[in-house]
Amino acid sequence: MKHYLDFVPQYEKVHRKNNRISVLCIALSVLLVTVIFSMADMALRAQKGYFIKTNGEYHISLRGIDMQISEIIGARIDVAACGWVYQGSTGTIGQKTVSFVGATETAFSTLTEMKMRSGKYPVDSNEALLNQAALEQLGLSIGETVVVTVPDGSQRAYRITGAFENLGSLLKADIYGMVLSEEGFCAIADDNAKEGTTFRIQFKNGAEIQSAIRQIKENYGLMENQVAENTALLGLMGQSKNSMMQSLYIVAVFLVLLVLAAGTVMITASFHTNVLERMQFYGLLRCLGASKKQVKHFVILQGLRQSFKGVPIGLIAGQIITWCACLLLKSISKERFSEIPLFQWSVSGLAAGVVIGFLIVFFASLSPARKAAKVSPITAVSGSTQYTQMKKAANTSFFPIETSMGIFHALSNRKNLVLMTCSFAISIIMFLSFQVLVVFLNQGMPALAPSAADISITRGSTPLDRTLVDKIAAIPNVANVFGRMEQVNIPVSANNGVGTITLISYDDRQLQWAKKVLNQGSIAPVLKNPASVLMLYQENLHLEIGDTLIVDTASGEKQVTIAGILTTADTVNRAGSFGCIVCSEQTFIALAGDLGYAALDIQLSDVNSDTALLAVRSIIPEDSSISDKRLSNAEAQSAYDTGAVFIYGFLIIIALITVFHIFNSMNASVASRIKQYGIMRSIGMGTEQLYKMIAAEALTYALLGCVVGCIFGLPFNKIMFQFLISDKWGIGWKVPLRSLLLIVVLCLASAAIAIRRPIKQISSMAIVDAVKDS
Amino acid sequence: MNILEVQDLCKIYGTGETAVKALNHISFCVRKGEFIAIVGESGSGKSTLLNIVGALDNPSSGKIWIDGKDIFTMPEKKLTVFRRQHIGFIFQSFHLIPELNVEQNIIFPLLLDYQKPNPQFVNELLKVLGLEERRTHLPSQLSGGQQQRVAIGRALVTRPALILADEPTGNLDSRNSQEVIAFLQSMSQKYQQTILMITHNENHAGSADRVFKMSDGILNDLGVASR
Repeated sequence: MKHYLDFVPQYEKVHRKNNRISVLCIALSVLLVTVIFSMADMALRAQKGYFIKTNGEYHISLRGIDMQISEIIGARIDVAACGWVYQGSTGTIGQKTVSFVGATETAFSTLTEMKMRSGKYPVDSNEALLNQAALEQLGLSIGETVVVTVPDGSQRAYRITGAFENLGSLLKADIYGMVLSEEGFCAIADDNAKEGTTFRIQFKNGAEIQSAIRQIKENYGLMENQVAENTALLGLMGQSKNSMMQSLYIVAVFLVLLVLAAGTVMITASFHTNVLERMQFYGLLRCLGASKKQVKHFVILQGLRQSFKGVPIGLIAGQIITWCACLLLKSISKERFSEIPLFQWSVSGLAAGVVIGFLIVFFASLSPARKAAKVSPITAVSGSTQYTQMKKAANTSFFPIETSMGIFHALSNRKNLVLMTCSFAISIIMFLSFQVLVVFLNQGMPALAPSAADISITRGSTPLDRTLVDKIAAIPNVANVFGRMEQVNIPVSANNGVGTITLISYDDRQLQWAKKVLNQGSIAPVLKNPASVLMLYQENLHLEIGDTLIVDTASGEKQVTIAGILTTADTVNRAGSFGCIVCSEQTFIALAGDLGYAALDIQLSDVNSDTALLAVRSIIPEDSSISDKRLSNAEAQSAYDTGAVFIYGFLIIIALITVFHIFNSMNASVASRIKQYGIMRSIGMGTEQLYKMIAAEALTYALLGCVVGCIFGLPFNKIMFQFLISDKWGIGWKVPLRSLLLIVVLCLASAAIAIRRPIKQISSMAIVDAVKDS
Repeated sequence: MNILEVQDLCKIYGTGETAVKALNHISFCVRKGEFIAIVGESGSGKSTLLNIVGALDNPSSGKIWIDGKDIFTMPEKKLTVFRRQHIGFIFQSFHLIPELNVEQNIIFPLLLDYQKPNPQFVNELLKVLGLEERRTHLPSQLSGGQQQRVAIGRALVTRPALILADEPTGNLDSRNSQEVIAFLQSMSQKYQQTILMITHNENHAGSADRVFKMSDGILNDLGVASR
């Protein structure tokens, strides 16, 4: 030993157990930060890759500019790639609409969401690509010719040079997609092309995109509506000016600060307890001649040494969890997460972990170091560290002595109280803040409803009759078929005036599904009573449950009662001035007659098979349209799954950290008083009383933490809700009772379980060991 | 009447070659109201004996009866209550509860027993101990001698069958030490209290009714002390 600080490692060797808890605390804080930052990093990379794949890798698009300006802009130093993407003109192949796209091969492959599937890109104006589904439906193969009615009504023959991947939007709208060369498109373009055509720009890495947009607007006198951002991509790059993205950035910064605060509180609390436990030792150091500064250095070095052990553990564990989460995401949806990096290091996650591990430990150890430096040398010889801390006696008049002592223990040490309260409060605040993201997920990227159809058929002039339903149901691979009758513009009168409604019929199964979107009231009366209906929610329509409507039908006026309010309803028609009314099929027939179905929804047992779609297509009336929603459904569901994995993942991590932190804090708190508990036992305190005393202490921390957590967490929750949800979807904020209850119960339960182990330890410990002076 | 009976008490720490016999077949009796002093070298086993008699520690073998009850046959819960009601402790380091004031510290064992303290008795104790003026003071505001007097009051408040004092003057100066011993002596007489006290100080042992000497785990009765 050459230096007094060389004593630190030797001291740690002897006090391994205490050190282990501190190291674990540091490791967990680092893990929390590393996982959250790494997952956010991986998610950003994956989402960026996904949006490039689905939207094209361009940052902004300009419309209404001429060729000359486009060439000048293309020559800018910060532009990596640019090109024209012509769209907007449509034609027909047979009965079906075809949407034209024109672009150079480079623009097509980099600046659009379309991808070549097979063949070659069209070069001549009479060459074209068709989407794969169109090729299959028309029974064409590469090299063959297709005759297309172009926008001016004339017919042109195109040689198919290849196929591009299906797009969800084309399948859902039941139209074909045709890609032409620039020349080919310009040869057939009509006025609609002016609206749809854009000049797309991809900037170089590191470019200041917002300032570039400003310059382009100023230099070429472009209006606001002539410049559009690729919001998703710019948003992920942190360069979007979109108000929604700005709100998300603010929320992200706030959440990052919260996570950092949680890490700091955890480490500080652990250090604080550590120093309290070692007070006598620091007194001894002072007794032996150590200056205050030397004691301070001693404590800081202890902290940093613990960091050297805890940080790598946290970093490695954090990365492993991140890799597992990435693997999980990839297994959920290979398509959606094709771009997610597997087994890659996240520099930002690791950097955040290292910064937290060392910087926070350094700052967190400063305060206990100051406290340790203040320890009087007399502490070492008196054997008592607690006497000096008390300023007033415990109030023992309200509760039994053990409860009063427990509460007093919690309240007497202000710093400890603040740290413990903060531990609980920060967990609640974090949970409530992340909870808003769950609502955001459900609103922004909702999971597929049970009624979501894989294929939808909408009637033309011929109604879709019941026999068609039976025929479709008999097709192999069709799981469910259900239809809706619809009648628009039915006159109604209510106590607040007269208007029109769109009447929609649901069968019993659809009504059961509608329970999920029932805002108020009940579905049951609608199933039983022909005079009961459900109303679709509409702003400023002041109708409530129990109100009656007089419906003017062909067979005279009929009265119906509103039994429930729905938030959404499936319909192919516009709502009347009084909105939409959903009723049972019997009620519909009684009110409007048997009109046949306006739409049929089909759910498939195997969404990957096309045979059912082809069979359905062959039996439906020619003038009805068919919408293949499978691809868009899969996209919507995978978007929900992504959000769910991330948000619920974060919530689970926060909950686990909360549990551990409470366990550790309570353990440490009990450990720091173990001698005192021993004394109390020696003068007659029973195990049950000890349990009650520690429980009272834990409950005081937990209740105070819950109160502080709610005081700060609920306003944060409200602000974030308004930012992310209310401003976009107009939904009013409500106290998130279920989430609040969940986290409060979790905190209280953790506190209750956390004290069991130390109490058991104390009980099993010989009293004589607990009261020993050293 | 014997208030304490110790029979063939052994305490062995460690096993095999490293085994140390801290108490070696100790037997003795103490009558009600006796003031006993145990003297001996450091490490002779005095504190071990006191801790076992006070049911703070378990013996390796042997039996102890306090007030006619075999304490080591009692279950833990019953033993805690028994200790609370029948045994008072006075420690060298006082071991007061820092969060409680003088009066609260004294009545603490009664509160643990969910009993209502008798204010007259508490006042009397405070008066006898010279702590009347200090009743609302915290331990940190008291001198060592005063703290030990509080500890004596705490040991007396339940009027236990036996008071065990482990070097009660070990942390005190000679004036305070004399004072504490005088208190113990007068308490023993005033309340007919049985006291078993460990001390290093042979002068203090002289204040006792009987003196035992502990040496290498063996207890010898030195007989009646010459006051």
